[in-house]
Amino acid sequence: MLCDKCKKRNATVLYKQTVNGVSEQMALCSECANQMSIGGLFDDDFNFFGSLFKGSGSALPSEDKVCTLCGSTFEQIARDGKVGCAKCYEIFEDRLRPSIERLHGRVEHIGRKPKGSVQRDEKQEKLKELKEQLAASIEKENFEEAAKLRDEIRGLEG
Amino acid sequence: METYIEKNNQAQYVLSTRVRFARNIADYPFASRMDQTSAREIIEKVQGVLPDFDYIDFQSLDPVQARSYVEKHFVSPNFLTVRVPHGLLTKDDLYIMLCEEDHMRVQCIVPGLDFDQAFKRASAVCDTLEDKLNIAYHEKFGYLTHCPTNLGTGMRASVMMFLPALTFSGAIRKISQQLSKMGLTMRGIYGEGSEESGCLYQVSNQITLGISEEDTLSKLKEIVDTIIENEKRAQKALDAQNHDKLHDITSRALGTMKYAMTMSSEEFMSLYGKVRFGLNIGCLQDVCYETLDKLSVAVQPATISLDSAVQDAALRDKVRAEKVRNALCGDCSLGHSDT
Repeated sequence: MLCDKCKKRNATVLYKQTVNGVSEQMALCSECANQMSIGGLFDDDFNFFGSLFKGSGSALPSEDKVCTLCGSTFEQIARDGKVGCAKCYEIFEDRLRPSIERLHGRVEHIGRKPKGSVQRDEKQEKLKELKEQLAASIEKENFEEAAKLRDEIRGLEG
Repeated sequence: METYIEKNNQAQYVLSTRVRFARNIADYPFASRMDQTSAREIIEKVQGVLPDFDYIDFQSLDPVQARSYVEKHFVSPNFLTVRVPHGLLTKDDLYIMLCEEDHMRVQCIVPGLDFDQAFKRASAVCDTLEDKLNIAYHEKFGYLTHCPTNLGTGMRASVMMFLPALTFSGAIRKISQQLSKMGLTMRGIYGEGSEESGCLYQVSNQITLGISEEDTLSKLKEIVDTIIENEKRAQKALDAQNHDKLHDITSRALGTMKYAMTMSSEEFMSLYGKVRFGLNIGCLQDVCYETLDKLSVAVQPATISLDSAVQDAALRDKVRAEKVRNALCGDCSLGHSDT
């Protein structure tokens, strides 16, 4: 009997894989069996995600948008189950979101952030605070302070 | 580079803990869109940030040697099929795959059950990378990755567990089904032949978006502790009902390991599971966990070919049996470690 994977060498091993209780069985040559068994450590279910994309992608009308950094279209991403680059996540955000939500259950990152991003968050907080103070000073007709706050806001916004 | 096998203080049920982070540089395409030049630039950039790491260039590496790194679990099998320049940065227990599926896969592998150590060391590397590189990040999606299954923290934490009693009693199937409902995955490692082979499983988190690194790890730790408790109970029950039979099966397995003249890797894994189980229930004494676990890597096909310059499968089986015999002979007076 030939190996179910490479279809070249003789099958010598009956390979049985159980992921989350679902079993799959194949007759393999020792080389392919070895690759399969050790691969378990790194396998991330990519094909599964590819099929998830196809479900949501086909329901939406086709678009001509192309990623400006890597040249991917949404159809390519849906076919591969993989995203072309960081920019694709911005460009196709709306179309990617339903699949990501189905996959993870929610779409709101919690946890570590790169330092640059933390600084951005702090800046946003500060801006919000200053704008509230500005509104309050205008309300109180304290225009001198309002002018100062306005300049400070402009400086932060760059 | 095999330090994670040594000094394992929870050897009965846990072989090793791994934490890995997927990271990408914002201005470069991901793997499927990457060209030779981009890959080379990425490697140079990361090497520049981590000058004290050793770099192994996989593009020019001998295929048997490359395969041996897979067998040691330092790189993924996919890594060997990458067409653009790619390589491994290593230092102590840190292994960073460059230009695999993501630009960087930062991994730390430590012995036994130790999420804190693995997390601390891998995330310190991520901090260094983030200081110097423009890492791809999105306010809602978190760290951006080639495959959306890794979005969010980009962190996959996993534990390699030895669960013979749950395997033999058949309870493992139910447990793995329950784990999937909790956003965790359980996979058999060395699953070939029969379910009894090796009895090794990898338990890892599946969800990476919407849950912090700390919460992921504490949830996983809690589950791993519960699995260990279940394994202990199943072990006690099996031993109480079938002590003589288990003593016989595990002793025969050790006998075969000590005296066989030829051994396939499938047979080795089956014997490995039985002998390790014999140690857990106290039937066997004159072999130690470290020897068995080191053997489980040393007798894999490419590692044997690399160490002994043997390519032929039948000859490899002879060398494997010899390696096992020699390793166990050296162990005869070591006694059973009950930690």
